[in-house]
Amino acid sequence: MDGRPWVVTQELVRGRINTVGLLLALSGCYAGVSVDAQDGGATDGAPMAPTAGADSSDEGGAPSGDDGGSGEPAGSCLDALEARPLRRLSPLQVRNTLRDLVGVEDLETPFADEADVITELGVRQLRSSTDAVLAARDAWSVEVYGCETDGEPNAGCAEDFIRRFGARAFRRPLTDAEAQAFVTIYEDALFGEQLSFRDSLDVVLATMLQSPPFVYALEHGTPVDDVEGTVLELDGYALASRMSYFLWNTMPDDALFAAAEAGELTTPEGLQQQVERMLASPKAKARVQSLVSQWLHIDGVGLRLPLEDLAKEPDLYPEYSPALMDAMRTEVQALVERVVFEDDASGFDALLLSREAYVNASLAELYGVQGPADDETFMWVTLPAEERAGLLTRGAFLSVHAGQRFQSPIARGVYILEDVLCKELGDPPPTANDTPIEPDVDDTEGPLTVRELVDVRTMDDPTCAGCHALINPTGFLFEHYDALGRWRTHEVYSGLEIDAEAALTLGDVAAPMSDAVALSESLVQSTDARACFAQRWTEAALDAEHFDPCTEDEVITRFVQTGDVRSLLSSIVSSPGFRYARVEGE
Amino acid sequence: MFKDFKHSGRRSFLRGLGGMALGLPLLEYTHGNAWARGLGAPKRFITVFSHGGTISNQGKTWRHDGQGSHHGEDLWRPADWDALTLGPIHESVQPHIDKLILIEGVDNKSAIEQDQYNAGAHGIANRTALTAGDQDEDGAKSPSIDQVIAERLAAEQPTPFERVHLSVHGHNYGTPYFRGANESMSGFREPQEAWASLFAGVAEDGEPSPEAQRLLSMRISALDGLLESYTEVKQRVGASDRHKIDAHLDHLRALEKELTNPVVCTRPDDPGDVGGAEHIGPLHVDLLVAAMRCGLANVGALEIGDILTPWTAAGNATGVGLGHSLGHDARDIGPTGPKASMYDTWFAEALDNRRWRWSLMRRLLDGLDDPNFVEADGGTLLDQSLVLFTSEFRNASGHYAYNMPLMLAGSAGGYFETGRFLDYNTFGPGPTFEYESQHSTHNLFTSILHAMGGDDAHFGNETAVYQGPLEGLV
Repeated sequence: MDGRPWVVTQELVRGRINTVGLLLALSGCYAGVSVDAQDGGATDGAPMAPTAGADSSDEGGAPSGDDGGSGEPAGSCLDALEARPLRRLSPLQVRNTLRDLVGVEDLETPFADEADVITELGVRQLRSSTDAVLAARDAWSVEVYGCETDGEPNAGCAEDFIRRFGARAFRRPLTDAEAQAFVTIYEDALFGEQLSFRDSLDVVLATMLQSPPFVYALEHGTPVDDVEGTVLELDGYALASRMSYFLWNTMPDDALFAAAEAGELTTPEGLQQQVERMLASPKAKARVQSLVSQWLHIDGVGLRLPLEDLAKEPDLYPEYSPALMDAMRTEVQALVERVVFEDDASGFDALLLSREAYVNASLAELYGVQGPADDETFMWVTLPAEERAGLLTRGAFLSVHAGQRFQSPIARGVYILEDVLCKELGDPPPTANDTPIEPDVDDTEGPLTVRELVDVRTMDDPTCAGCHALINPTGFLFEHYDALGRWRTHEVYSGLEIDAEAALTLGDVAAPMSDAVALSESLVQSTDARACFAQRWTEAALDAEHFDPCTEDEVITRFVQTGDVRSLLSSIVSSPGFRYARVEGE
Repeated sequence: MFKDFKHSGRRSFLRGLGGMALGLPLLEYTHGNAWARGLGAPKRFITVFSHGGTISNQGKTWRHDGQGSHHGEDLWRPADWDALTLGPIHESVQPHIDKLILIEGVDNKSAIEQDQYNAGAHGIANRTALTAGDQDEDGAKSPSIDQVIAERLAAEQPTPFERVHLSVHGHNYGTPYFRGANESMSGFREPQEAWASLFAGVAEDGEPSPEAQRLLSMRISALDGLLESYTEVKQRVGASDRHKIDAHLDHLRALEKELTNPVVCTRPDDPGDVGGAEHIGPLHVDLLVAAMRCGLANVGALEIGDILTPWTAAGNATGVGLGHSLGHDARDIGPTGPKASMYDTWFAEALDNRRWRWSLMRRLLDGLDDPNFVEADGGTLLDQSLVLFTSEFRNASGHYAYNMPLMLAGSAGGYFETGRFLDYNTFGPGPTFEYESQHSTHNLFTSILHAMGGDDAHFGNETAVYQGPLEGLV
């Protein structure tokens, strides 16, 4: 849902509760990416699986036609696999992939189209992105063409470039037919258009970088026997791409390509070995940091602005500055890196409970702890146990889920319900005001706290009260934190004493609690919260909301048991939903 | 692998067309000169879509009287009905009053009927605002009115671009522009990107430089390969995904069309890398006007996000973080509202916000109605054009798709009788708080199709009650 519901009808809540009770919506069978199952050009033993039902080739790392040697029970799990719609690279993935293809770290590309069906502007921006790649030629740190391009045409060089660069751009070797098509494009440019050798190579490069295999996830594999319909076990190259874009948000590196070519990704050991190698890369850290940021909404979503775009009332928050927001972002990234990649901690618990914070002077002051002497220096500190516990009690999350002047218990409560517990609340009525509730500046409603005002404006109307009976108490647990995440005993505006106690009535976190620290302590014990976390990350990996039961069992059930984020990533990659794809019928 | 070279037939055709076009421009426009094709003045259709409604007391079948929590003002309504005096929001376009039609009392019935609250709702109102059609969370199920017109006019009046779409980007609940089912359209956000794309094929003297010719050859060569590869892959994706490849192919063909239909015209200056919306908005308008003068497209769109306007005199005094929140606060600043004390502050900020948006409309109308740029019939571009200003609802506090904010400018070559205010409220235009309409944007869009030369009986989803054009417009 795009906008966060601030007021939801009782009817909607009742309907949902009656339907699913307070259980999380984790059931259902998913799968799906559109797959390129019929590669008519694969005529030369290239490592791409042929059309479902056609003969398979094992050359060049193509998986076998059985269970791929992975030991996966294919039958009933794969029967439940659903076809996923055709996906294409995201704008960030396009940028990262182009960056890696030519080795220009700061390459800027204009492609920004996230529409389900690519727009004309998106196609235009793809072309402009290839222009940007060519314009950065002097900064290329990867040997792209492999020969002197200012001189006479070099047919051997052109063919080598087409094969070599094409394999990286398409994330798999080119078929002979594809290679021949690019040769024709090259020749047309060189002889037909009378372009120079270099311009002709540029034409080929530009064509490759806008071609379907570059832009779209056209995946190949081998049909699985004894499965209803057509399900493919993805070949090594398709799997390498899925792994790379999930764990790195970019194309595979040479080692992953080599593992794909050697068929290593079709064995559990080989797959695990690559996952561990990839997780050790800085690219994996950046990806996990990005996933956590998305989960916390600090990158902005719906009505939530990105952390960096926030503004706070200067009279109430003289500490506010864009630099402070940047420091909050740094703090989140550092904590994620520490608890997921460096510590032996299980990850999930530490994300929600850690009191360690990486702060500069301003952020230390906001947290009321001794920190470094200036804002250029960051250091690890330990935050007060009674005030902070994990990411949900840090400045970044608390600032985003607040207004410019006051904390927003409704925004915070909705977030916990929807994104930490996966409780969908439904659409609010259109008259619902999504402006954070604030004390009237003239105090016409008397000296009320924000908490009291929220109840006054949402609980008297039965239309609103149904959902807000769930939302408000959850959000009230965060009342000690103002709109900038400062911990307070009295409200910044009214001066009234803060009451953060509340009783939750939802799922396995239903209990009276003192504050958000207690909530975080409860969430790490919550099956619902762990399942929801795993659900969100699996959605990101598979680009879908529903999974086959085996994926659900292997990924979510396992994470509920372990809470280990790195293992979560591994289990997602190993799951049937990740390694198989259903081919849609005609 | 390298065989005897044999030029593809298709490429030969393109190369020949490109060469001819460069030597003998197909279309010729120059500043101050009239349309030169001898086909008469072309019709144009431009939409200005301002996200987030306007300042109004409009409810469903009522208007707020200003006694409760909602304010009672409607700043969209004309200040003086009989004297044709516009209201506070759009008073800046008063000088163009003879070429305007203000329309009151027309609902977006499509949104209302598909919303569980019979109001309009987030997203639903957006997806139906210009389609008057069916929709779901994946998108509208039919093209928006501008796309329909763009396709029709392109067949009659070929231009390099089917439509030109510029966006002053900001928060919104979805675009109203759709090319087809579940296929949204988006506009250039950066003026420089728009300029570079729109005017890349414009040759000021008809003689492209060798460098321009080289780049054109490279682009055509790449497009040739891309068209073949997308055509080939289309056969290999699942049936439910083919529309995605089809769309990609269509867009590639559009790019090809630009390259093979160069225009001779005076390019506007490179707008450069500009900052915020306060700079982007006027530059976008200037580019849109220039594109129309150069005949780059028959259809244009200026999309304005639900932005805040801190650069105006009233600034962001309310302290809201989103334009959307500013809209919602309309329900809380009335005398009994929880934000009653913010009444003056809210109105000042909201009015300045909408006035800034209308300053873009004024700039657009000034540009289109510039007497220095007349067409073969002696009229200005505006005379032959039709400009529609609208939003997804009127009163942003309740997302009511009732009594849509609608303003037409230009007469589409005399088709519409301009210089009028029209009200379709059953209870009339008088000072009434009652409201009821039997008219929908279905009807208005059908009228617009007629103005553009069509004879359609209907536009939008098949809602029998709202068949036919909007009576009284012509």
